[in-house]
Amino acid sequence: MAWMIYLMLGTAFVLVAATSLSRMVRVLSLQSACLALLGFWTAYRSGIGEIYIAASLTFVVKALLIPWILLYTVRRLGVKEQVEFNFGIKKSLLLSLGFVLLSFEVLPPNILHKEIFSGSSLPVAISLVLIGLFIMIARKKALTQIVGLLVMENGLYMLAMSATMGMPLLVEIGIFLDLVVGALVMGILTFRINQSFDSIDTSRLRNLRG
Amino acid sequence: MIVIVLLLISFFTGILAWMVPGQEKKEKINVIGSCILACTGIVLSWQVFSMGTFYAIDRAIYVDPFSALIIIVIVIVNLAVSLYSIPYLKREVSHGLVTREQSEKFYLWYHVFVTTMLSVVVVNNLGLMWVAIEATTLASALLVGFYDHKHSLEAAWKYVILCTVGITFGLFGTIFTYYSAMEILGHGTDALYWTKLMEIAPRLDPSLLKLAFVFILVGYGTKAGLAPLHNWLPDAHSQAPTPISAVLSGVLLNCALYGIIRFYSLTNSALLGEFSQQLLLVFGLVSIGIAVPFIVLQKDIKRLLAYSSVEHMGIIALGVGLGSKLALMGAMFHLFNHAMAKSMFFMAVGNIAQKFNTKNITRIKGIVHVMPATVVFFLIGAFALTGLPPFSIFMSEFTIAWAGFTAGKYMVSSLYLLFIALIFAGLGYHVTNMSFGRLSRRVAKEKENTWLLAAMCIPLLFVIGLGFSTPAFVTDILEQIAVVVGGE
Amino acid sequence: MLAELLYTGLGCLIFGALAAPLLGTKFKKSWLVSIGVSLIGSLCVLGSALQIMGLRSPFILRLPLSTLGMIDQSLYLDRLSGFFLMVIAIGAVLVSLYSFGINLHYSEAGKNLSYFAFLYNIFLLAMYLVVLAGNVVLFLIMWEIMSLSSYLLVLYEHEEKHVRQAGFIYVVMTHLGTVFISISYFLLAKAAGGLNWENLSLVSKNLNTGLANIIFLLAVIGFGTKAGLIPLHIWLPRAHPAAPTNVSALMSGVMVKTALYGLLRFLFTFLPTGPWWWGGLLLILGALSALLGSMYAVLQKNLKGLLAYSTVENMGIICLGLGAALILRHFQFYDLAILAGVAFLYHLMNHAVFKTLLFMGAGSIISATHTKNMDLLGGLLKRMPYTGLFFLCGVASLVALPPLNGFVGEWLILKALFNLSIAIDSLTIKALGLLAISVLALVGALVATAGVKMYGSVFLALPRSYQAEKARETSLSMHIAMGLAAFICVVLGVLPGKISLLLGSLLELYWPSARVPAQDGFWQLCNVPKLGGEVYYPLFLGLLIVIIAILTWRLLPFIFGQTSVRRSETWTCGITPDATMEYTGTGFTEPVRVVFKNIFLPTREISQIYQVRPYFSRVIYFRDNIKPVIEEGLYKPLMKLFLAFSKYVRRMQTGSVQMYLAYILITLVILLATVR
Repeated sequence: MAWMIYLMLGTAFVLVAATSLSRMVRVLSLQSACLALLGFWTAYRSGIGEIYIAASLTFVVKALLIPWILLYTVRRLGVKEQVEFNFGIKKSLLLSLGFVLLSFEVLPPNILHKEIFSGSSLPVAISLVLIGLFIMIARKKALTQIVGLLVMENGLYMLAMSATMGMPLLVEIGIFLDLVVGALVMGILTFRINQSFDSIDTSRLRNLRG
Repeated sequence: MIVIVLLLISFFTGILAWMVPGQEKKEKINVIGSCILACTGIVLSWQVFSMGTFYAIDRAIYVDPFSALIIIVIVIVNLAVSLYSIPYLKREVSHGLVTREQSEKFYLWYHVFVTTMLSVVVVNNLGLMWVAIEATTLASALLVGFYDHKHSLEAAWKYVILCTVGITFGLFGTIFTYYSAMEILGHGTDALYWTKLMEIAPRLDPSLLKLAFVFILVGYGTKAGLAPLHNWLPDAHSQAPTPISAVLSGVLLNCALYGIIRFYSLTNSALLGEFSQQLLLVFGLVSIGIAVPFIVLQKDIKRLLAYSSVEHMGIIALGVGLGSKLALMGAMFHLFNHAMAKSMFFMAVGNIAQKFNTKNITRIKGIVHVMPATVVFFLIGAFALTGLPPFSIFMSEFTIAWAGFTAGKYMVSSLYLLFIALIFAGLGYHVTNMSFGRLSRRVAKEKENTWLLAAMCIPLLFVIGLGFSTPAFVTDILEQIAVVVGGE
Repeated sequence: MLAELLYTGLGCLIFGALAAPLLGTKFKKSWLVSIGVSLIGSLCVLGSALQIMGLRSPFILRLPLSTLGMIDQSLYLDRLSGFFLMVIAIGAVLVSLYSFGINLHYSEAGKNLSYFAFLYNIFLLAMYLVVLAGNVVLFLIMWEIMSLSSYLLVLYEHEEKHVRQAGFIYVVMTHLGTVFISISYFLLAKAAGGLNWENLSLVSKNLNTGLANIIFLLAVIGFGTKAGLIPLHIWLPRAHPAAPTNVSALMSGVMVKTALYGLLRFLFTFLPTGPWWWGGLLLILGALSALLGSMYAVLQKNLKGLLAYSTVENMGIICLGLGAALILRHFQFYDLAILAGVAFLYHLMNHAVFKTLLFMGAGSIISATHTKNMDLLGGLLKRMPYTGLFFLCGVASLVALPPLNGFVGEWLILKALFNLSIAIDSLTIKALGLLAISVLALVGALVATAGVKMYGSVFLALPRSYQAEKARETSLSMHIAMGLAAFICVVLGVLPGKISLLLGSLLELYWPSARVPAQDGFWQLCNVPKLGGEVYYPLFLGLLIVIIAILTWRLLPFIFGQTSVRRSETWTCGITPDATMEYTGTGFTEPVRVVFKNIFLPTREISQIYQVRPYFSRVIYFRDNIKPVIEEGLYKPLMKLFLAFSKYVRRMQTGSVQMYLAYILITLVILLATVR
């Protein structure tokens, strides 16, 4: 299943290069689906029943529910599909590549001596987190920031699957609850921002400084 | 059981205040709930201090002296703020800044927010602690954006985004910890139990634990407002309604810091104390230092207070980073003192900002002429926060400085003292010009609201009462906490 | 018995502080009660101070207060704290007596007197406890409360902008000073392993020289700020004039002495006998303060401003004595060191009394005329004869005329400096001593000018303004207070022998290697056998001055023949002469301004509004000012630098959420790199 995590990394690059909002959300949904698949596989390998539940939750929440919320928001707000950049696509891709190299280079080798998929899930996870953060930095719209955040979460979750076969169920459920509420709260805020600023371009949110 | 009751009281106060119709009744429920919560919380903490650590539900609930301290902070600040928010909201409604429907939802969100904060400190499971900390962000995000105008939305957005990103790193750190514990304890909740982790700490993989601590520090540090991760803090604190600012600053930051300190104890018992202490020292000192220019040149009084919170979080981190028992006692004492002084000061500032109808420092002058009672709280708050005796913060800052010198960290401690003095200079300048002088604008003198004053008296009691000397039982409690936090 | 008396005194002050706000509704009455209680308290403290002065070994009173279980707070009573306690208590008694009358006009102006009374009592209490504190915590607490309460008192007339500015600069400077003090205490305490004076006093033997030097320097900077030594003085000439007069009297007369107490506590009980440059540094700082202080004092138009600068000058003189004592002690001239020590303690005491007296006098003048500008006063001697008499006494003491006390102190210090230059075989020190002597001589002349200016333009000639014309004598309690102060000035002046013996015995306790030589009589100063006997008969000398004055007045006409006196009107170019044409204080000190113009950097501007150009002018404005060298050259650039730096750092908060995320990213990456 090692190829799966590289696939996830690949989708992250697609997200960095994407220029349309709804396509971004769909790619994100694909990435989350990969993650769910990883989960099911882990559950099958380890035979721990709890992980099936967690994987299903991943699928429902991350691959279906949240993308739906985001797409709904896009449609309701009637914002332009165009993604707005702080960094151009080429620069972004190069920097993202840099993050991947950095994660493979900086982290102590073999720090995870027992993982399920392959020897490189930790650097891939950290790359995903950094790329997610980078998407938040490099793109202007509020929605793209949410997408970046979710990429970070996916990276995190992948690590959890790979290293620890997920967190204990109770924690898992809590995390999903937070995730859903978080997406809702951010959605509400996006609506309100759109109302007040007539735009969801976060670079306009620069009145508070000093 | 009492812990569950504690959470339920707080939660149902919110729900009841939402469901019951009529503003008057909501207010009554709010106050009564907070009073009961305060009594329960203090009884619980007292039990913990006198009889030791407290478990419930198969060890899933865990209250040790450190958690008990934070519970006390939460319930006291909550009581004061609940009292305060009633006249505050009334005024905002009457001035047309908030609609009646909005104000009706306030108590619900507020008490849910308090519940999430309480749950942060009572869970034994580090994963659930993470969930609870994230929940505090979500519960308070809409409160920060309460006014629903451009600035408050901007603040709320930054607050949610930055804190959520930060906290994602926190989860990363938690996963690492879980991973290293799983090797010993196997898959399951046990490996996230704080109590279990402490038992096996020396056997945890040190390089993983280091990595975990870095992520935790960046993650929860963002939420706790350690520089340079603090940037959401001045926005959120200045734009939220004043009661919420008081809670954010006095309590919420401490809850995030609680997370860091828990992991600090873990690394300390895993013999990585020096590593985490170094990091905490650096973050602490940077936070104190960075507050200086922002406070000196500040124009918005609530932002100024927010930077002062950054400073004080830095002081607590510095105290923990010094690591000795005395320093930990000082840091924990400081945590309490700061919560009291800051919430009082925020409330006083809220009164003033409402009266003058501005938060702009240069447009507020001569407070002493129109609000002779509030100005006393305002001045005491300012002096207390800048570490002047005879107020309690002086004692804790002194203890930390002395611990720093005894630890042989002369440069760090001297810089710390210097920064504090410069912050005093900045705050002193603004406070002198605001409190005194001729009135800047036409502001009518009217009788000050007794409830507002009463609310401020609650924290004032502690600010002054612990200023001259620390009674033996306080020292005893702090020692217990220092032992827990020190973790050895 | 001692403890009871002390506690009673301190308790009275607490009661006085609380009484005023509690009785607050009727301002006048609560003020009188509060001040009355405070007076009783100060008398009790004075009594116990005298007892403490008699103690041979330190007496420790434990207090039922503790700080995080580290230490029990305690009071440490020994002769040094006793001496300072006495000085403070004398000042407090005088000012409290005086305050019965002075502040009542505030209540008419609608000001809150109970606020004042509360802070006044707290201020006194804090000053007493500063010198009594037996450990670092209590000392710092009281030190800061002293600053804080006096800051709030300075702000009493806060409607004026310059008052707020003065208050702010004062509290910031003193707080920065406190940082240095705390660091030096902490370093010492770390070496000693404890925060109590008992621990600290044992440390001196095993303190290495480098550390001792650092501690000394930090203490000098810290306490020097409070003492108003140049270049750390900038708050003093602002804050002292801005405060209500009774507070200025306490601040100038007494509070600055607590800084000396702090420094002496370090030098006497904590630190070892340091290298000679410790004394040298104090000599230089002292000389600088005395010289610049007196120069600025001469040029002041503001009566209280003049007195404030004179405080800087006197603190400088005291430091000269202290520096001489330290150097002599380093070179093991123990007897001479004690002589120098007696000299500066004597002057310290004198200054406390006469400066209090002068400020009280100034307060009476201001409350009678409502102006501080000396160029608007004049002719008050006829209108306020008692005040004039007592004030004269203070001025005579200030300018060091025998038989008053100012002379004794300054004379002894001058002698100490001579001893320094004679006794020690080092060219540098000889030069330093001679420099200090010449500075002191010059300062004497400048202060005389300032004194003549002050007394002349306030009390003599004709009133230059309507307010001065309307002045009336003030209340009885103020006269009693001033009279008492004047009496103490005289007593300290005419009984130097006994008093210097007393001060010597204080020093013997801390510098045990030497003894004060025996005295023969009330009127003789300490004499040092090696240098030959030294006799000073103050009354005789005073009488001599009076006789010479009378003789000059009567004898000269007798010798040179009676010149005929013709009385007629003054020619004033055809305009009716009036009082504003009189010679003013500003005119009187013009020569000084011209001589030192490179230091004062005077600026003046004259502008006219004409009726018919260029001959008939309607109004002429004349404005002159001096540039304070140290503020312009040192503090302003520093301040600018600090603000510019702050502005630069502030740009970090750009408002862009993306930027903030980048900060998080960068922090994380850096930290990850450190883990590896």
